[in-house]
Amino acid sequence: MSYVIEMQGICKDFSDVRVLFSVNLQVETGTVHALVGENGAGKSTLCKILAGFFPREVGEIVVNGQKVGKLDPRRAVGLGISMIYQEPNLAPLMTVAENIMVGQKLDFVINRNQLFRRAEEILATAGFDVNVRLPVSHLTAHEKQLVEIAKAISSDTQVLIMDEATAALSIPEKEHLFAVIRKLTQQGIAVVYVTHILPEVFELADWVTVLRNGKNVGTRKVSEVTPEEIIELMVGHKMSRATVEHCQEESEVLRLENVSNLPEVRGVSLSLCQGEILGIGGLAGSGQRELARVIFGVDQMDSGEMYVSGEKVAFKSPSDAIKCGIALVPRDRKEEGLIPQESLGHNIAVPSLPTLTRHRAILDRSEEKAMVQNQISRLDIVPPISSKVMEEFSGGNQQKAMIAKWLATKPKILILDEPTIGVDIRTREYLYGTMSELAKEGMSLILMSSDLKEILRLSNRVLLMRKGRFVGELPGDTAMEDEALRIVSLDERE
Amino acid sequence: MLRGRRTLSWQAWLAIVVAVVALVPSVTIEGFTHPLTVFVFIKAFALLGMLAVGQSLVMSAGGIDLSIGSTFGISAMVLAMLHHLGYSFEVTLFAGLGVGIAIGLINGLLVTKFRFMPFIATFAMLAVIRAGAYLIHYVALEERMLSVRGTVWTYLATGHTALWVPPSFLILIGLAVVVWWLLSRTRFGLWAFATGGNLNAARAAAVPVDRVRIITYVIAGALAAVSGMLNAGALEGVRPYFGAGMELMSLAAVIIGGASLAGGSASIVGTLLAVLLFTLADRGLAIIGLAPHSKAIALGLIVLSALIVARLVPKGAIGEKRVLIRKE
Repeated sequence: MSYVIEMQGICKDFSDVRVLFSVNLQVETGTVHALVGENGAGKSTLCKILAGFFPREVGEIVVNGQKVGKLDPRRAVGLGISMIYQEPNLAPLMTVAENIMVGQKLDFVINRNQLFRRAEEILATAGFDVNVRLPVSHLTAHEKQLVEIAKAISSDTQVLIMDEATAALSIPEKEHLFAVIRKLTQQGIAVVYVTHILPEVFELADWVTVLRNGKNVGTRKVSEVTPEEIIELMVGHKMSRATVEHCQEESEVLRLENVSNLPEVRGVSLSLCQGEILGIGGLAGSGQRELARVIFGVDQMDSGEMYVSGEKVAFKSPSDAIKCGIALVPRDRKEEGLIPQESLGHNIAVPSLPTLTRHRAILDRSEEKAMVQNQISRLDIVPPISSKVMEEFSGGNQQKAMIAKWLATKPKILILDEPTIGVDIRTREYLYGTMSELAKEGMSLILMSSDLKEILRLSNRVLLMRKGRFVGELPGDTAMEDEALRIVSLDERE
Repeated sequence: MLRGRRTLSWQAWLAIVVAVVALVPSVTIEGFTHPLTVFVFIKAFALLGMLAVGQSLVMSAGGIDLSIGSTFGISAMVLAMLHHLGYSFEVTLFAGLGVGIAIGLINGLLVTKFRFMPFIATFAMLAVIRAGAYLIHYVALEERMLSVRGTVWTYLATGHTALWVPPSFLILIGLAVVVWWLLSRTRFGLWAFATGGNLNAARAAAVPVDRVRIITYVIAGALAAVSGMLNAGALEGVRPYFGAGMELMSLAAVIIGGASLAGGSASIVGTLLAVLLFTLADRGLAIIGLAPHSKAIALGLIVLSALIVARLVPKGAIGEKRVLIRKE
């Protein structure tokens, strides 16, 4: 058995908080080695150390039996270690060919036709075919990923590290990607595959290493392990289910009558009680997102009426909605949710600034600090450092920060749009628990999700949406899943 | 081309606007096509053009260089000082170039090694170098308005070549071709666009991003110095405020020329078309007799409207999206 990579006793600190504790990792040549763990377990950090992007505090890295000293990305690539990052790592205005070739050994003067031809050859050896003359900005997420793979494997790569590679892919695209990965391993390339989606591990990987809280808690051969064992390693204990409390008080806090915002929202009526979790389910693109935006005042309704606590409202902007005690945790963390370069603390404080200022202008710093700390501990954001820059947090903790940010405004009505997408199992369970608690404390929640099991389990009531209309109502009970699925996926003509 | 079709249609559009702006006044304004006007015009075009070409290079790699207006000024002061100390053309050339390169090197180091934002670093340098120009003026030149007329610089700036254009114009074209070639036909150009397009990606692809960025600032500094010295050669006396505001004109030219402020794209042809637009407008307004301040307002409005149009016209307009992947 030959190891292409051996990492021993790797430790890493971020601003005095240790995130990796003496981690060992051995990767066999020509295999797929899955790296799993919850968000914040240290998977990405470990990979970035291997790719030379972060320096390590302590520890040894051995590549092909040779100890390597200080690593930087250039050196790592030279050693045959390439990484495909979670974030797109291409120059959008450059062509596919240029993006692929930029990391190659090139003569000073470039023959452009030759450049295109060589890029095509590299893509062909990896087994796919992309128009190399188009700018990368015109590609889909999957196509971009293929270009990244081509770019990475074009430089005598022995180890390819992929971080959450399937996050933005459809099912056929995912299968295509897996076929590509298998082909690479046949060529003797080892793939370190970071994921939190367990079925992928069983579909693709030969080995699996589980990280928990910055420690390696086990490396197993995939053929000799069950999903339950991996989950246990990941969370450190057996899973427990969050209990759902049913709404007791029938006081109405929000009512929609025939609200439309064509073409996505078509004549929607609903009523929301205090302390209730109302689920709105449906396949992706059924109009949930647009409905949330109308209620929160981001988009204006074409027709219909909306009442908050019995009073008629017409929101012109989200700030009107915030004043009425409504908050929306949007689906897209990057586009609508967080300011990636700002600190955790500032991100949380932004929507609450009006209540934190005296005389409409002066910010009360100590109150801000207390409020932020309060939210960080309430949602158990890890690491609990309010000055740490948002983009350095893991996906699950970014999601928690989004919720913290809107909870800080002390809303009466909290709308959550797909709050658990891209979030690991434990964070998900934690968020479910938080939502139930909030409802118990008297907050009203609207949960929008395309995960029917999730909303059936959490909600008191579930409204099902299809093509912008409500097409059914069910009690919140996971036993109703088949029925719910039948309703949302029915064809128009039925 | 490196920018695909993104800037091509935009440049064609820009060329039409420039043609209109050139034609209308040649018919309506008397004296617009007078040889002397044309000559002054070509000289002004060459000077701003050199700054803008340097700015294009810096912006292709994701930077911005605000200091070039002051580099333009201080190189002229250095030239005047050395000329009056009796040094030859060659010495003044190398000294002036040396100053430009040194400033570019400092800019590059501030941005790469000290990790200042390009805007901040070069803005500080803008102030420092301008103060340096005044220092030479007061201390070394004792406030005399020295002239470098009659030197090779005067010939280069205003002389007549066989083609009936000043050498400065030919120098600009030569330099622009070199920079265009560098950006579109060499490894360096690929690295520059990669650096500007996605710094982390370039770093991960083992592109020497620091070296690339430093070189762009150095070339921009050298171009600004050459431009500043040519300007000095054409005028009666060298003054310490020469070049003030030209850094912003060059910046506007690069953006109107089709570059993205976010970096990773720049078009030398587009940039020069935009410089042409500015210079034509400037000359036209001067000839119809607008006072300098009114002219500045009018020119500012022209730049602003060009920027607005540049934003409104969809630069990335491309026909239908083609199927990129043929699956097995």
